[in-house]
Amino acid sequence: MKNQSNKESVRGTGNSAALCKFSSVKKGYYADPFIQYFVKKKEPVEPIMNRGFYMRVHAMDRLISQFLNANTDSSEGVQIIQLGGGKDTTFWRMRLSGENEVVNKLVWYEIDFPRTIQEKLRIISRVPKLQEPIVGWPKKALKKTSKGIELHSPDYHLICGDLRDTENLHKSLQEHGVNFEIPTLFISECVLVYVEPNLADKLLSYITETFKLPFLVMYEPTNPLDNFGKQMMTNLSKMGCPLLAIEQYNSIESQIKRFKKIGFNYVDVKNMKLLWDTLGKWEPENVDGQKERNRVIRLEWFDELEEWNMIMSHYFVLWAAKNDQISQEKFIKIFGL
Amino acid sequence: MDLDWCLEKLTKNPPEVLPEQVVKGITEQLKEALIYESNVAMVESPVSVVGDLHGQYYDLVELFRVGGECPETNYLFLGNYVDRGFYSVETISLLVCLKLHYPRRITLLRGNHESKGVTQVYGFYSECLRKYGNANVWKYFTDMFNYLQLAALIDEKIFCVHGGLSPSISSINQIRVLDRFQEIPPEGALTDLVWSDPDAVEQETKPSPRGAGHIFGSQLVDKFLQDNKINHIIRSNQLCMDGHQVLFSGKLITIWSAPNFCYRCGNVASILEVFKANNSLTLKYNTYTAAPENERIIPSLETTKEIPDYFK
Repeated sequence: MKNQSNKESVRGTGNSAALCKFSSVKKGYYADPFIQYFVKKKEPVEPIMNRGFYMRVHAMDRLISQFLNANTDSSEGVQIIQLGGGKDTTFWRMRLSGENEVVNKLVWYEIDFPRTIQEKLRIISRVPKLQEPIVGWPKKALKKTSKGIELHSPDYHLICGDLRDTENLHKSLQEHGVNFEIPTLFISECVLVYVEPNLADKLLSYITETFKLPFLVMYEPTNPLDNFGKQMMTNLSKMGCPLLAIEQYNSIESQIKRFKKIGFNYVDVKNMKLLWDTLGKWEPENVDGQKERNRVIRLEWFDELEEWNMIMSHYFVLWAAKNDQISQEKFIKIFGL
Repeated sequence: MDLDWCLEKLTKNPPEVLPEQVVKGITEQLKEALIYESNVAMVESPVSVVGDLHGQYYDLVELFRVGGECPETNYLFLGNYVDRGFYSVETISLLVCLKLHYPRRITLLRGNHESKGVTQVYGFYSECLRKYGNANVWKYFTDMFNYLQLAALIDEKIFCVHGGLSPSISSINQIRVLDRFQEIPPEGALTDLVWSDPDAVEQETKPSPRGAGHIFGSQLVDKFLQDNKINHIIRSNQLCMDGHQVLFSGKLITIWSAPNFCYRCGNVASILEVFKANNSLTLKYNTYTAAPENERIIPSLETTKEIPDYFK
């Protein structure tokens, strides 16, 4: 019998992710000077979590870069809409690296539970470094709404919402200037899997029906059918954050079918274990891939090799696009693999 | 040292940890006993060989239920008693007391987690801090780890070690003359014995992706068996979904004794009985699953981390 999905537990997965990311950064896997502000009890996590979150962030970053680089010619710029991003810091990391400047304009939206948005705003209000890139902070940026305080600055919006409520989500996006005609990337980093599949599909259909040039990157668990997968289902269920969508979409093949049915003409998926095994081969041309792989391996003892292979083969990244004008070759391959 | 009293506390449900001074006493006593023992323990069959336990106390209890209680059954443990699970303290305390009480019935080898450095990363240090309020007990146990034997020979025919072979060791006598009374170094023969893994395909001996030890193939195994006139190698170190794995036509066996490892892997566990039948050494696997949910108590942890953890 499945345990009920507990909203607080689902919301709590964002804190868990932030802690693991912080630990990974502290150990030297990658750079993020902002995540420290979003973690209360700073404890190291196991090497398998450090390395796993490094791979997650690394893969998602590459896909976001791919989106930006594919749309540098959009005269009105692009939008990124992060679904349930929690305490994610990509907005700040991108401005630090200057990557947002490869496009003419980048407007960043985040939609999450009201409590999460309030927590994020409370943290921003304490840290000047986080306020710096937010135009109009605080008076012109903070707005009181019926759902709570939201952030609405020209290129950064934090919106209180529920991904299961597509109608109100649409209203919020419309109200805050979303352009439905320009390239828009939706990010779902371990989010939609916690939502009932029919409601998740409703949101995905809304995206393909309402946006002219939607793109989507998704990171999620998969394969609940083997022993590891069954145990994962049981454990997460007990923690109050059951993987509601995973049984209906229990494989990479079924996810590809799902996205194509919903209206994305280009869909590609890569298993995280494959990405780890080929780490070094999908770096941008100016990066020495083998050096990066060796660097990561040398960061700490890694005594969880068998578990690592198991857990990584139960996660994937997915890249989807709906675009009739761009050639298939440009989109079908991600990571050059 | 009243070992019966210690064993009574440790076999309650839930088990009770021993007072700090008692831990000091039992670890000192075991060190004194082990200092005279060779690096290579000579063990006689019948004996049951046990792989990694990793603090899974309730599954150790299950193991004794399945394999037979000590001292009625002889046991050879291949190391990795601590880290990863919730009950490393109770697990190692129980095994130390059993070893002191029945020294000829149980052999405890050293694994790569019987190390000051590794236990600070993988949970034993934090667990000691949580259960005792300070690091003294961790220090007593990890000082004692430096005395654990490195390998065993069953009936002079079966070589047992935690990890595997070393490119710097061709003879068991070389193991006998190593200085084992130290923290596991970053590299070298001692390190290889507790960190190495076999590879079914690889012929060349290479550095291990674990960050210590080596990967070795059938060539090194064949040579080692031949030069030392032995028939099998039994080792642990690698998680096996089926509890055990056999390589090189039976010459090398991996045994894994932590079922549903870290409450995450969904694997079964095995122990390996070695006994004489019709005058020849026979190997029999005893496979078991994790102790039932209603017979274990998962402690609440004062930590932000959720155990087991996933990429949530």
